[in-house]
Amino acid sequence: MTGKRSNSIWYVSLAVIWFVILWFGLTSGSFEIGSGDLWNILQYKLGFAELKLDNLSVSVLTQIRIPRVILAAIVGASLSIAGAGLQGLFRNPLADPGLIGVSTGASAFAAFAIVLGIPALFSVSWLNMFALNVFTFIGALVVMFLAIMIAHSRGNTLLTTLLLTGIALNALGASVTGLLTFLSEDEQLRNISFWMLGSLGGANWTTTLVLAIINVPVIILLLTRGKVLNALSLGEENAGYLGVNVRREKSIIIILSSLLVSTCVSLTGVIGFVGLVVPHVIRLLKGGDNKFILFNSIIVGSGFLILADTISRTIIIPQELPIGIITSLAGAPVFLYIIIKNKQKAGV
Amino acid sequence: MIRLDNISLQLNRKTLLQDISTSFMPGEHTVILGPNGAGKSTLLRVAALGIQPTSGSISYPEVDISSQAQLSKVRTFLTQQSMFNSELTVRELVFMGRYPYYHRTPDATDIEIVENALQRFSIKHLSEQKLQFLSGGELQRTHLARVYVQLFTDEQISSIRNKFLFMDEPVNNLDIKHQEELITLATELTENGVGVVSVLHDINMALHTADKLILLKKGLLTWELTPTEITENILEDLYELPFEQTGDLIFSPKRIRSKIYQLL
Repeated sequence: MTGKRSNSIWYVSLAVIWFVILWFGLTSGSFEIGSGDLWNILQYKLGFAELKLDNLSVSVLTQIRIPRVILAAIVGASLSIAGAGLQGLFRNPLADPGLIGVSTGASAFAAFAIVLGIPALFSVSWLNMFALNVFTFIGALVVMFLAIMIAHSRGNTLLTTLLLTGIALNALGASVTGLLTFLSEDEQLRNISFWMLGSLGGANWTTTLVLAIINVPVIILLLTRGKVLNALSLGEENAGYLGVNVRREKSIIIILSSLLVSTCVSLTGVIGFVGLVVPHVIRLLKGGDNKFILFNSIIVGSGFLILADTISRTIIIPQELPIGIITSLAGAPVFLYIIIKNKQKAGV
Repeated sequence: MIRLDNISLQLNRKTLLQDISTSFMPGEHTVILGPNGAGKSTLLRVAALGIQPTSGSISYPEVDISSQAQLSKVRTFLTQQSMFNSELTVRELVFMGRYPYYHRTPDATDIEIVENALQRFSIKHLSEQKLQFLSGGELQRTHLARVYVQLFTDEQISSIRNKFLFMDEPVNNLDIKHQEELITLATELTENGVGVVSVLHDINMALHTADKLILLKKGLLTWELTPTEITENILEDLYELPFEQTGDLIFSPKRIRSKIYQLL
């Protein structure tokens, strides 16, 4: 049934789709850059050909589009693998950083930090971004531990309580963000839809590199937790019998996922449903081995977000649609599907 | 040998275990018997260090019991039907039993041990099947295979010596044939030096397989004895139900038997 052959078909198809999306992302936008131009710039950079394009095209591609596509890839991979980690930890496919309130908590703390003037503390922009990241990380952790404390009972996380807590925390976080936005003088913060629906519009090499420096190592660390998540799927006590230091591993997974989500939120706002949809689709197509799900979340998640971002900036040129609208359009039906499927299975 | 000294456990002001001292020997099958709510599963989990006792001490030979990683290589536990990720396949679940022994990917030894276990528990034909499509008995055998492969340090049967297998009502969901296979398994493991500790409900199965019986009542260890020492009175005292011996190591509750006689 499964096995090496079906896996190689899977990876080849993934790679093909991924590169088509990448090409689509690099060649689409309000400024015209065709695939011929892309090819020419690539050859020029490698020293194989003369540059046939004007400087404007080159700088649009290298200064705007490439960093944005890379940012989208990292954000997509981060949110997806964080979602996969949390779903494994809570043994539930509905545990998504957005749904349980972690993203909104991070955005509320980000708004708070901006009102306090944290991002203007330093004269160097990347230091300011790190400072903002510290705040969103604390916000994400606070909400995560609140949600777990409320929903945890005797070694079990009660799903309904977790999701209801998520609704409450989301409402609280959103209103705090809204209030701070309203009170703030800051132009960026004025744009509430940035925080609520997300946007990759702020992408440049600085944001992309800051995110890469923090998130790439964290993603690699989270990748190594596949075995642990599989063991945890038998329940915490059984995971212990299999040699897992449950308390330590739980903290590691929670901290790594919160870190990934919070850094994304501080740079791109709340992009919903990515962490829910991507791992679920993988699970549906290829089964429940968490090692596989974690690794593939990186590939599928990055491709998904590059695609969503490309659509968001090309569908109503010259304006940009918030990317969260696109991801939610794709995600909400999947969310409903999981609920209906769970209902049939459990009869609740 | 696992030693339990003066183990007590209170949970929400309720006493579950009270001052229990006993030991489990490698190469012996110890069966814990007792009525519902006596604390049988709790004692099993405390002895396997799955839950912390309120007071008392537990010692394992040559193992740092604060290290889950070390413990997982000397004892394995078959819990009652556990929560599980139903999207996993049978083979993936059985491989989990090898987690304590490999870091990232299983080596040839791990694969050989798992393949043998799939064969031994007659689930090889199901190995690519997802757990959600299994029957209760098939699932139980898959979990059995998982804890079985966890006993092996390498592919040699001698590598299971001095390890411990805990089983909480292992015959649940098994038909009579697989129940007998489980008994055979327990015997084979003890012959190879494994200490087996289990909770069983079937008194006669317990008497026929156990080397030692531990009788629990209301969190107290009331008797520790061999099967041949069991009497009608001891069972009556334990279950508060009259028993009569109807054969060699066979006991039945009196009431049910008299009803059967009336029917005849």
